[in-house]
Amino acid sequence: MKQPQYNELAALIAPHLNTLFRAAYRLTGNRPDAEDLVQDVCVRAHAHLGSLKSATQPKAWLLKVQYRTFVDGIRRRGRSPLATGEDFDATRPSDAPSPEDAAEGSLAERRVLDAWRQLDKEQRALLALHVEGYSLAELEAITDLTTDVLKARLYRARLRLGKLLATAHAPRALALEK
Amino acid sequence: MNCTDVNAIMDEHRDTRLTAAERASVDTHLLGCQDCAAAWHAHAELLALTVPVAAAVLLDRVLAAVAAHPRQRRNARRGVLIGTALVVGTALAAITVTRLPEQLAEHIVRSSVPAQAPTDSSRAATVADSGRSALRDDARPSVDTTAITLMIMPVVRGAPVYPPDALKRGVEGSVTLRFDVTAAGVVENATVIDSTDTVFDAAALAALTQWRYLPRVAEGKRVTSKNVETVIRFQLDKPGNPPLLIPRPASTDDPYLKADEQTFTSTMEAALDRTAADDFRGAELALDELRARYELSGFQEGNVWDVYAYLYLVQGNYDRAIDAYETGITAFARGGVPSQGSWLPLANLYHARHQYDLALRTLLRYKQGIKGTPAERGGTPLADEFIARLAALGVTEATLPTGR
Repeated sequence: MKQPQYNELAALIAPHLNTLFRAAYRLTGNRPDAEDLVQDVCVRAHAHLGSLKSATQPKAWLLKVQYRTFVDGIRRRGRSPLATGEDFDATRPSDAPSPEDAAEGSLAERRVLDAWRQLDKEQRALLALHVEGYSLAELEAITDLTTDVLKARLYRARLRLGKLLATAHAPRALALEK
Repeated sequence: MNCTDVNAIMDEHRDTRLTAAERASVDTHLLGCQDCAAAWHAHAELLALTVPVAAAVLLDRVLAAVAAHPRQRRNARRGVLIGTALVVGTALAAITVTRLPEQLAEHIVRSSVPAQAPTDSSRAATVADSGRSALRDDARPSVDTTAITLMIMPVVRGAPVYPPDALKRGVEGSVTLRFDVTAAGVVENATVIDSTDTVFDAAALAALTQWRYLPRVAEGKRVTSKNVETVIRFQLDKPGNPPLLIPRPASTDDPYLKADEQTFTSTMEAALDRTAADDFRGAELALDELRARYELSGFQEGNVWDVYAYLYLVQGNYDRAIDAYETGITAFARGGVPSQGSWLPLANLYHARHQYDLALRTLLRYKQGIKGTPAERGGTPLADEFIARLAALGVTEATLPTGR
């Protein structure tokens, strides 16, 4: 009985799964969280299958849901039942990258990711989508923000990240020389 | 080249397609502008990050997760309704469902809470958009919760399907049903005891059996309510008809991130099931998540806050319960629907705290709210009696302080 329904969902999301995952990976900075996020998005997509089906741009629809899911910062219940409504990263055991993280990212990349995690979620969400190559027009559709607001926020986010990276440089370098 | 130009290049993804001259011009600016240099560096670092591809098993994993979140029931029925309307070629029928709490004479138990230490009656009620975090941290007051008595209150009411035959014939009508509400808030033993046209019976029964109530509480315990009666009215969308007491489900134009009826219903059911299992914290979390995740309609939000209030009340936390009821009433008003169930417990809470002015205001607001709706026709004996009791204490509309 249920099978056709899932086939329908699968057909709708499969073409965009990698897109979603890439954006999610940029947002979260690691694979397990990215997969969790994509999974959340798909569960929502299934709950609103009619809306997804009637969407003229399924990809934008899915990205928008993903953006909102991330910014709203709802953690999956299974991972931490008490952490609803709290910051996405706040209840991570530590900021240390997971083993998978380490395997996938070089030292330089982890340095970027460390700075990245210090941005607030809205900033991360915007920058991630932008760096993934979405145009301002597409970002407008995804975030419901105006171009001017988008530009201003992108500017602030980049500036902040740049400054975080600049301050991260020095102590790291010293530590490595020891 | 200035800061605006440099940022526009990044904004528009032109950084990888610059001519040599443009690039030189950018570099010149970056040398003299620390901010732009930092931003450009960050941008480049992000672009350089490697992003892995999705694991091949991700689709399977996602579908497994979807299967673990059972999709809810009523899609087919909504489809029928819309389909029928198209066949008939008429405007979509509206459905009015009215519950007349004032007429449920037998089962209604007056909500009463034990009097707490007298509080200053002039103290303004803290109207609650104060936020959950603020609410959550205060210590639970030590009150005797075994004395709490509450009547049932519906919190999940899906609109019934307008029977296609009736729609074709353009018939309106109503069905009176009798049923029991279990201690878990589930409707049982529903029977039709009166109807204007048998064509409506099946649809009314089908809808009613899906409704969920907050169970009656007698002496601090959730108990079954026998022989509850309710009236479901079927009414076409035409001028002159009273407003809907259960709004039609939101249109499907832009429902995502708005809780559709199914999401709302299943979450509320989960919360009520947890309440039935004495897992109040779990119930609260389910409601928290519903509110955090979705943009709720005023009607939905009002129902959610009624459940919060109930949870706080049965745990003896009257401050929070008052806040929650007030928030719920505000939410119902936002949805254009009068709150039908929360005014009585709220007035009782104020009364128990000797805040008679606030109790009277609550009752008057309620009477004002149902003006012009079918609920008014049944009269408001309980509210009137309460108002008379307050009048005996010297609290009348005339003595209410103005303002607020």
